[in-house]
Amino acid sequence: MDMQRIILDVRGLSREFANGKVKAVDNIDIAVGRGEIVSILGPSGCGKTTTMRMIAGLDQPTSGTINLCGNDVTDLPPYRRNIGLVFQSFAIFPHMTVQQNVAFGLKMQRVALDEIESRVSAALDLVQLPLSKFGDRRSDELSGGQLQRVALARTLVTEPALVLFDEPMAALDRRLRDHMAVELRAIQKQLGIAAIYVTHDQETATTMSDRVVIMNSGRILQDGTPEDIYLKPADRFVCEFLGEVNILGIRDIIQTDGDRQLVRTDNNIDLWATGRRTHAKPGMLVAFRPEQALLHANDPGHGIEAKIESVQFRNGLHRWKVDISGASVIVHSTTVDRRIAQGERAWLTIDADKSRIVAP
Amino acid sequence: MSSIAELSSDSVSFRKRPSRAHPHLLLLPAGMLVGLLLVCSVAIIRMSWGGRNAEWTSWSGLAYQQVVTARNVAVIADTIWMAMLSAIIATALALPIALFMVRTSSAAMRRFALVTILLPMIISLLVQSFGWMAILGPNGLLNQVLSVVAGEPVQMSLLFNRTGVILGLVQTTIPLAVLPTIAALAAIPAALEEAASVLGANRLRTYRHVILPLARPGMITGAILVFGFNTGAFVVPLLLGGLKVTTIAIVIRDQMGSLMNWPLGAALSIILVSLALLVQSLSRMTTPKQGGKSG
Repeated sequence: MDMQRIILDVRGLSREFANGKVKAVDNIDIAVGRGEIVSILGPSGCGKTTTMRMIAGLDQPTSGTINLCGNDVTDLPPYRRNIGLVFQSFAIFPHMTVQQNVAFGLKMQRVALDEIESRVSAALDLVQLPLSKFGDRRSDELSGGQLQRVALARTLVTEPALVLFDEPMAALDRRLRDHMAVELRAIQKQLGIAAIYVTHDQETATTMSDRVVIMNSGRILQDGTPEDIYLKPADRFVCEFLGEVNILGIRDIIQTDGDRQLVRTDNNIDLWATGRRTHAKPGMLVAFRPEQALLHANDPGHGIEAKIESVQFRNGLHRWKVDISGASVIVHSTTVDRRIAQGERAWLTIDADKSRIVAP
Repeated sequence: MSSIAELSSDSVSFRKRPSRAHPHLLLLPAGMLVGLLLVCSVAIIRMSWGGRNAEWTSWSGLAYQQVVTARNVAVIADTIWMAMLSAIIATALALPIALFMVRTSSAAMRRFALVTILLPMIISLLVQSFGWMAILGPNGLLNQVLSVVAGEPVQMSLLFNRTGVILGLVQTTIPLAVLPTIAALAAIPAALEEAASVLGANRLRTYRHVILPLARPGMITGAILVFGFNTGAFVVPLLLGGLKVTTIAIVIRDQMGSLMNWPLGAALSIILVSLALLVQSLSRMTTPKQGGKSG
């Protein structure tokens, strides 16, 4: 990312509570470019909300800097930052109409009245809530999806440099959530705004964003594209947080060939694996996704011998639970066109670049 | 397992019990009290239309003619004025107190403030009024302190006049204004304030455009409570007004007690109650939207 395109640049950001006894956010760096959505993904209590609140100015960092469009905004109050925030609860002012809610930010910026009117109208059109029909309604006359649209319009109308989304889909039901996610992404791309999307829902995070930042215990574990963090996870937490994964412990390294290594697992299986940055050491782990291992009915020559423990058919996929030398792993893919039954012998192969060496 | 099952079936039957018995029986104690008050109210209405010294046997409109004499109208107007003024002052003072209580992060401070605010409701009005007399009197605490500060004798007369009465009325009823305001402020989600801030409103404008409009129903409720309480003020104006300030309640006491004019006393009582009811219903009309939502 070249300097011109960087909207938000967070450096060494930390937030301590209880006189340094609790580090909610621990020395993190995040950059967001123009037109980019970055998701901050992590379990509750990982520091993602505190990070977002510090970027918005609602919380003060213990140390670190926040740069917005080249200006240091670390010490500015929220109302001087030009950052938009869509709240989880939407935070629609209940004593104002939809029109007044959307106009609020412009009114605070002392924009001329006729300009306010046209910009509010345009913003409401963008979120498909025409002013003529919805302008006079109050928050108790709107559905959850409509409230979110109002919150979005209210944020976008002031044309902030960066928009923060605080789990904006959490209050919506599943179907509406998927629909709004697509719509939100479309609007964001259309306007080319930079955005940070804070969530604990890995599915929305990976489908919505250009980049995903995984946080846990106040630290960033991995920062990459959705594909990267799914296929090349940095450590056990990241791979387990993003869907199903099989994990085996590494006991020994037998052979090294570039970034590939033949490793021996705790249950005495030898397999080739690829590291992200570091080479395997005993005590590290090898991880592979259920759809990345192939199940064969006959030994292809280099397969790992397996015994079928159970088989389920779900969503058009077979899901085998197989035993390999005492370890249970889950496998989705097969070369055979039939159901390999429980108790049968089978062979497992995993591509070397798909079984990953990860930190414990 | 079986013990859990028993427990849960037990709690279910416990929850159902009131519906099997007669729940309306629970209203009996309160109902008797309300019934008694209703009977008394009807008696007061009847009395107000009776002749003097023959309240139950004769009919007369004389009491109401006496109500509209210049002296009584002036007293009624004065009472309303003082109640209104004290309601406005108490509500204005209540806002910063309530804000402090809602905002302070220290639980100890919050408890201390709550006790301080509730103290007037625990201590007898009589005691509080005597307290004010000791402070405001010609040689009271206030004048002594002012004399020391000014370096010369100060004789501010705050006792036995309207200022003293208003002061006393505000002090004794301020909890009634503070408590609903606290409830209203505490019900405002923090996200609304943060949303205003992120949208470009500084603290002052956040208060003006978000906090105050949302706290208004609570503040109006507080003002009405103070107004209603102070239209019936008796002890405070009697002691701090020193016979120079007269309220409806004092006139009622005089008419019913010393002068034995029960019909006039009853008529004035009805005026007093109607006043409180009128203001109450007016406030319902002026706060339509939000009242409807919370209801």
